[in-house]
Amino acid sequence: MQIIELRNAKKDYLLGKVTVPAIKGVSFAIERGDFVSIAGPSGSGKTTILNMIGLIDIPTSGEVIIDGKNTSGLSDQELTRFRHEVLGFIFQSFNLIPVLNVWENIEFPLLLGRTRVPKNEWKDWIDFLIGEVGLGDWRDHKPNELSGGQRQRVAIARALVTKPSIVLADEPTANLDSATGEQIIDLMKKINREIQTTFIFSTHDATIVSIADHVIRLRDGTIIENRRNGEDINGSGAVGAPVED
Amino acid sequence: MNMVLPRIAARNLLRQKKRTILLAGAIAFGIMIVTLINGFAGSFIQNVSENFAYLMGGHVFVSGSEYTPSGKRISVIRDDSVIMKALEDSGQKWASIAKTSQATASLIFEGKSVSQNLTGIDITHSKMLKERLVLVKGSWEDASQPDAIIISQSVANKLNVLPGDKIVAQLQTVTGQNNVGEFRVAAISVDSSIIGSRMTYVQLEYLNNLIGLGKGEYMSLGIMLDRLDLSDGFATSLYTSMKGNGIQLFDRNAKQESTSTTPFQAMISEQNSETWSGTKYRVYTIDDVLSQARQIVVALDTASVAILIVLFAIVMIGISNTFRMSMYERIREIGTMRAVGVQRGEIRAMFLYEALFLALAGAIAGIVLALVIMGILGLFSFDPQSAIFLILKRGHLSFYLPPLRAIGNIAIIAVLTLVAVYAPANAAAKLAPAEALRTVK
Repeated sequence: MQIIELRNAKKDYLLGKVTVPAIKGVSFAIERGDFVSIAGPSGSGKTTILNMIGLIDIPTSGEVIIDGKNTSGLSDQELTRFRHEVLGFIFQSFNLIPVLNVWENIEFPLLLGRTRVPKNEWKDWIDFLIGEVGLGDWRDHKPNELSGGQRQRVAIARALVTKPSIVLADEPTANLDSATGEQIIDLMKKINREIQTTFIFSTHDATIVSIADHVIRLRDGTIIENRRNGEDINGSGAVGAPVED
Repeated sequence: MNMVLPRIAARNLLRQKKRTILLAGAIAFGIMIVTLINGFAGSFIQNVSENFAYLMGGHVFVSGSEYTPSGKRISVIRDDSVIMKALEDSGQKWASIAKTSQATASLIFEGKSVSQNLTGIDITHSKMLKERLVLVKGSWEDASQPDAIIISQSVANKLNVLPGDKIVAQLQTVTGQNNVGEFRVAAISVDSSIIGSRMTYVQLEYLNNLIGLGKGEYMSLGIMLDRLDLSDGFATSLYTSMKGNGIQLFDRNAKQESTSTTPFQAMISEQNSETWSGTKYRVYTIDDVLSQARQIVVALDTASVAILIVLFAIVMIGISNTFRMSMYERIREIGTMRAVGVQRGEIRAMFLYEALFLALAGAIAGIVLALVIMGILGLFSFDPQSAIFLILKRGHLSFYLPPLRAIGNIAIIAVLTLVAVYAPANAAAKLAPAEALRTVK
């Protein structure tokens, strides 16, 4: 069952007076519960694709459909609410709120509005997540008192706290050493299996890509490979080449 | 209300301790200056009024005016029974009343001379005088003699007199005739309320005799109340009551229609232009006399508001720039918050909370600092003879900060700070999340 669909999505950036195409019109779909890797070299458009799926960047043209909802034309307020309810984010630089401790950072998204977690279950749920990411002894520590791996674990717990349908991770291992990076990917995979959350992460690390169920490989803003469970995906909107207008 | 945003705002202030201390310090300094001015202005009118009330022997006054056969206007109350009846009829309470006559005289002793205002009062029965005047030499018993004069320590020093010495007074009668009298120094006083050092008291009957007033007559009836702020209400009741008793009165409301500088001047100027027969009375309060002092207070308050605005215009430019810088420093944090579901308005609110906490902390610190300085300044005592004696309270500078004024100042600072921070807060709120997250600091 599809949870994400991009239809001929394009993204141009204006650099001074020059329009630079970052994504040249891509279409693909992602199945619910998949562990998806968006792979490609630097500048290939991985982050832009993730940002469009994450509704923090709006395509110049084309459509982004998330959880059956066409997000085109939604106001900033609606997009923010939708992000909060449906999506979780993990960033390359962890991006924790420096003045909040581990527990408060994880709790933060719950305080921003309606979520799928009933209020009386918040504490148990946060405690469970802290246990899952192995930071039980660090709950009162501030981000600057944690290692890079620990910070990314906090970010994972924060991304999951609202029980989102999709978690987006932009190069989650790029700022970590390889052993820690592997642990983080293993953790994400474990959570993906346990609670069936769709994980989409971008990476240029080939070893990490191999763990994914679904690999979308980009080069220069176009899809050059779209493979799910080892098979090329054809039809159902997935294409391997840019669509010409 | 989402309490996590104020919590983050407060912690952000604590995170940047140096910056916060500098900004809050600038606010505190400004508020401190303004509070000191307000505190001074607040007590100024009260001290001046209380000191004048004592100097003039009352909070509310009744004085009479009449024309002599030669057409000269003199100040006199010849029969006060109608006033006393009106006082009783008014149903108001008072602390004490004093019947007084005044004359300016040169006091002469062994070739030395001092010009003094003589206040003629019933020394023997004046409770107010005995409560406030401390005699350092002589006695109240001696002061009960008909020709007794109580002079202050400074006058005694200037004339080099001691109790028992006889001094000569040169003065004029109410009709303008020169006259000379002789007084016996009965006592030398110091006065706890400072003003007393400038006062010279003699027996009313004796002074009346010298200035040409008869027995039982006097110039002014002073009514001392329990509190200064009761004056206006009391005067209005007394005026109404006197009018009801058919007494000829000068209009108390003349001031409203006049173009004169002060209401009291307006009243006097109107009275000067009138003619009448018999005795016509006027009722006035210490506030009417001191309306110019009130104008000083208004000027001080206006100056404090102007200072507040100028000082804070400068401070606010600094605050606005600092918050703009802070926004760029936290740009990824803002991007992250927006990504996880914080709305634009909430980002704006977070910065505004920060500004509000900063303003409140600075303003409260400034007021506390000002109160401490007021306390310290209040410890110094000033020379009773100094020119500022009228604004002193028992020889000390005193301050009164009306609570509403303090709250108002805090509110002004809070609003100004919010206005200063609104532009950077709005810029932060308008940041596109992807753009904010892309920014490399």
